[in-house]
Amino acid sequence: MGGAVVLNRLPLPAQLDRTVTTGGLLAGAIVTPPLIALIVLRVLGNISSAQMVWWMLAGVIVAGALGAVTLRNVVHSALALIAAAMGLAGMFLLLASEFLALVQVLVYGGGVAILLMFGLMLTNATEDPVVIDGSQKPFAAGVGLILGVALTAAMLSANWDASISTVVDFRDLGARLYRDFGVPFEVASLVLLVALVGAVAISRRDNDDDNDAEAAS
Amino acid sequence: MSDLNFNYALLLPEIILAATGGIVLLSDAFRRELKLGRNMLPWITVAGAVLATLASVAQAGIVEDFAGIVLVDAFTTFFRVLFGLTLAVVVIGSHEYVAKQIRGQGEFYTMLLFATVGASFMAMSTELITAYVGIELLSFSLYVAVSLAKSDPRSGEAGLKYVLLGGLASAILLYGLSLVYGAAGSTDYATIAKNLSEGRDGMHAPLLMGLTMVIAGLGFKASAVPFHMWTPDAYEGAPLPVTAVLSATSKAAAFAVLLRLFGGPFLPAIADWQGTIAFLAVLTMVVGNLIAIQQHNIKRLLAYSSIGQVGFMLMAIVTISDASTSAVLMHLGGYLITNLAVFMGVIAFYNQTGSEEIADMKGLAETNPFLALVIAAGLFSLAGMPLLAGFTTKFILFQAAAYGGYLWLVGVAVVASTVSLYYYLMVIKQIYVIQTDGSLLDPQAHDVVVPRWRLTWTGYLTTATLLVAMVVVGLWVAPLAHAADSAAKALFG
Repeated sequence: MGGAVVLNRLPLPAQLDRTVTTGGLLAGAIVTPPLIALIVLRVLGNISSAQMVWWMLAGVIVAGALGAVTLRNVVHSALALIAAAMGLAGMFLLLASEFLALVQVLVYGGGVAILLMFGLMLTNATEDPVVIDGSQKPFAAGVGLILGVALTAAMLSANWDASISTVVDFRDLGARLYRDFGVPFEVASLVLLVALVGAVAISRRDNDDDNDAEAAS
Repeated sequence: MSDLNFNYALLLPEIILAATGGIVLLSDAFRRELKLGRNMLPWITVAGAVLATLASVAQAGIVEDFAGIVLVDAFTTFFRVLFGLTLAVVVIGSHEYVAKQIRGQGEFYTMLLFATVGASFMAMSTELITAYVGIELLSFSLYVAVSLAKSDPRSGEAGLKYVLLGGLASAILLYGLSLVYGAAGSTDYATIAKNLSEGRDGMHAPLLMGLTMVIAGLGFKASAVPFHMWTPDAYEGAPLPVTAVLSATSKAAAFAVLLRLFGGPFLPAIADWQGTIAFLAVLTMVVGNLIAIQQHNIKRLLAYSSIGQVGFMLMAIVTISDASTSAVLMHLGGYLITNLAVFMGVIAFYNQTGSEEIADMKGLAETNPFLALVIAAGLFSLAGMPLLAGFTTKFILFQAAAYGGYLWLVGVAVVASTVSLYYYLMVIKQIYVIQTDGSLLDPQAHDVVVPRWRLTWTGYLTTATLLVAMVVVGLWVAPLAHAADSAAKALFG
């Protein structure tokens, strides 16, 4: 790769190794043209500012989601997932739902991401070289394509309500969430409890239980 | 703001079940401090299930909703009683099995209790998100319970397959629900029904996609063909009591959601989904019953048989009305009793022999005539023999579908039902015609003496109760019909 040779001669800091630099340059090369195109469209007045931001966020979300499923290194996948979550938070902000945007950043960008990192750290999961594609991959691709086309066609043909979303009062949100939706809220806490207990119950080894029984008897 | 508090006492059955789950979990963790044996756990669970059932019976007749989120009515009560009794029967009938074959008994019973809570919320929710959360609670609990078999690699494999495919199905369902929300403008069933009957221009395509994806997602939970692939593997790998819960509670809960959705909010859009579900029903009946013929493992056989039964019950969704809802509720009741009888029999058989192969059931009529009778009666009832619950309820179900204008569908169902008799009879042949040494039974020879074995008293209790229930429902169907009728009336007003 010609670019790589040039990079080797550049006086770069030692910690910026070649993969990071080439990856960054590649990403920049991909991202810059649509970014310039969007800004040009905005300056020419073809799209509104909101539309420009929407397209940028959509790009981040799609790229993040693609990265999360295609990258080999699980840590990179997790980082891509965080990028997608942040893009989604921006979408909420664009819809004037600042509470949801905040929660999205705090819970998904922060909490879930850190939990994911902890999980990866504790389970010692690194690069996964095993390819688990089955012989049904072409069928899956076909079904995915059909579903994608059908969904896109349905979305494009629909006449979505274009009303501008209003800012929801925090007080209304609280009443709705903790009063009207109090029951599903509590059930969701049971779901979390099940996940917690289940994870412990499954990951515990068989013989722990037996030793325990012997100790008790 | 109006009154701040709802009548939370209406959720007493679910509160009892969830609290029992917590008690079981903690008394398992602190059993040394509390000087409790592990053998207390199933009885705490049974007490919780029975109390919850009594509480829901005590609330029969009350109709009240929580801001349109959940609704307590006769339909809810019907399913609550069904789920509560199923849990009690499964735990009583399988506690010896659980003590030997399950790691983490406390967690296991907790999962069964929470699964029942989830199923109850599926039956009572009148709002998409609540229904979804209920589905997830049921599914999560069962994902865990499926994987808890001791030293059986099939269990872990089954758990992994179930959780991966279940996660995919949940995602599809959720995407479908979001499209329905977009097209109907609300997650509340009543508002969806109103908005869909008014109709909005240009929203037909997303609604159609949404409905199709909801059918796919719920079809997975009910194991309708072609979303059934997980069923045989999960049934085979799961511990037997979990297989029983999968085939009873999980199926019934999926149908509760289907009935509430397609009998209420989606009814105005019936033209968009009737054909799809009719197609699924035919596919499910035919594929389920044909593949069942080839099975050697009793759990796999029962898995495909339950898929076939789901096909019959989907007919009632196609022709959805007051009468067909009542019919499918009755069939669910009869199917649950019958299926549990077979499963309790198979659990007792497994406890004695450690085998799940149909071939190993040979000569069961000599070694344990009572168990042979229970299993044979259960299989005959599943096939739909007169005098047993399966015949009466299936007859009413087919009749309702025929009156609903889908005579050709009933024709397919009758043929599929006849096919099912073949593989049920294959099991019965092993039990009654083949002797323990593998030779055919010779009616003239009476000198063969085979050592007999007995069930435990809990085994006798559950199998005998279910056998009696099967015969009683088969002969005197009025009480069940009455309950199903009032539940269907609650749904259709």
